[in-house]
Amino acid sequence: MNHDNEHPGGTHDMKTDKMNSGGLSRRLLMSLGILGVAGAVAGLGTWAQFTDSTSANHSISTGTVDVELGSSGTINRFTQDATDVAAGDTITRAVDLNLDGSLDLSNVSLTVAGGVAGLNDSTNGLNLKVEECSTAWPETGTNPYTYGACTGTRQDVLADGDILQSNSTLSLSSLSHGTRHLLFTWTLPSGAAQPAQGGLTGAYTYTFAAAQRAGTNR
Amino acid sequence: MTWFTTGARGRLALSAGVVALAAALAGLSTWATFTDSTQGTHSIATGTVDIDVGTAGTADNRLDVAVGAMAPGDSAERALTLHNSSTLALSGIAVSTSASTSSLLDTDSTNGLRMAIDRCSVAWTETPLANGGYSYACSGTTSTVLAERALAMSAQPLTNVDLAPGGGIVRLRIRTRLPTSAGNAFQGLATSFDMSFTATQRNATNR
Repeated sequence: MNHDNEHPGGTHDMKTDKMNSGGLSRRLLMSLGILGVAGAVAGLGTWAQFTDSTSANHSISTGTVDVELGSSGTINRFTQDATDVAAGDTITRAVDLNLDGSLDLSNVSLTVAGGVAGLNDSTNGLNLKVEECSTAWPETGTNPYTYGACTGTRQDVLADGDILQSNSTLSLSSLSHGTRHLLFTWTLPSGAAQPAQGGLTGAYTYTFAAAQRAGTNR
Repeated sequence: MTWFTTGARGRLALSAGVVALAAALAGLSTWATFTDSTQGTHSIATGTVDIDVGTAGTADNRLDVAVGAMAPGDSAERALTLHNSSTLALSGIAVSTSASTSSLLDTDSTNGLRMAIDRCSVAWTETPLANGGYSYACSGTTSTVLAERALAMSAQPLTNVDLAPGGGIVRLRIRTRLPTSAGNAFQGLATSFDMSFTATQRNATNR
């Protein structure tokens, strides 16, 4: 506050250096005026109190939940459709499930929707199972692809069951950041009642949903 | 302005001369008279308001330990000691936050970060966590210093703090929490903020 009040006076002094002209009286008047202003400002500033502040900085960032399928090729054979499937056939496709988020997960689930009534039939329709291998599944051939035995550790991720699934938990080897090598196997039962399953095309949507780990103290 | 002419200045100069003459005469008047004088001494000292946070990087101030990869439902506890060395009693201590890196975490007052402050009558028992954070337990008495509220705040008064002169040490535990209502829009965000504590003197009184 003081500094601000002094400033106009200083500026004024620099401007007028003629001592023996009207400058002196003008300076006097100006000074009076400035004193008046200072008095008024001081009058306004009567809330002054002794205070002191101290501070500390803190940073917080949130993590991410991100689940992705392999882009294409050997890490995503979902893009290869299966055609002319006959009763008793088996279809296999490998796909990588990438857990890309920074947060560990509490759950990854699979929902399979779509298809057609005949193929969705829980007795005679398609069955699905999902396995995981700790290393990439050894792939041979071109469409149709076949896969050798897992050379690492194999485990069942989704037990053999109906193709339609609703938020079925996948029993993955780990819910932490990283890649899970999955192998999907579909079978059309050999006992399928042929007329009902013949000439059908089912388009299915596979949705993988990931949920964060439970809250904790950090 | 025009009334203030050269004549007035002349009068001013003349008055100055008269005053100078009077002073000179007074200097000459060394004739003795009965006099007496007495004196007392009086000194006035102002008090101080002085408040400081503990040294960062010690158990007195863990706010320098950032919280990374927080998820909804997570909470983080950090200790912070306030040293009050004021010689004056205080009317209050208030806390404000100011975000230098801002995001929904500090701008969303419903689903963003929540903060609560407790104090312990004795030093907090600190337990380091495997994830780099800390948890705290109080073997004395805990009391609420700031009820949980949104992170962004301005001059919120602290409760249950000692305002007496030289109020000593206030051991705070600052707890931030991301509500489970924070949705996907809160993924991958960061906020960095200053917590400022301002102490204000007691009300003026007759001394």
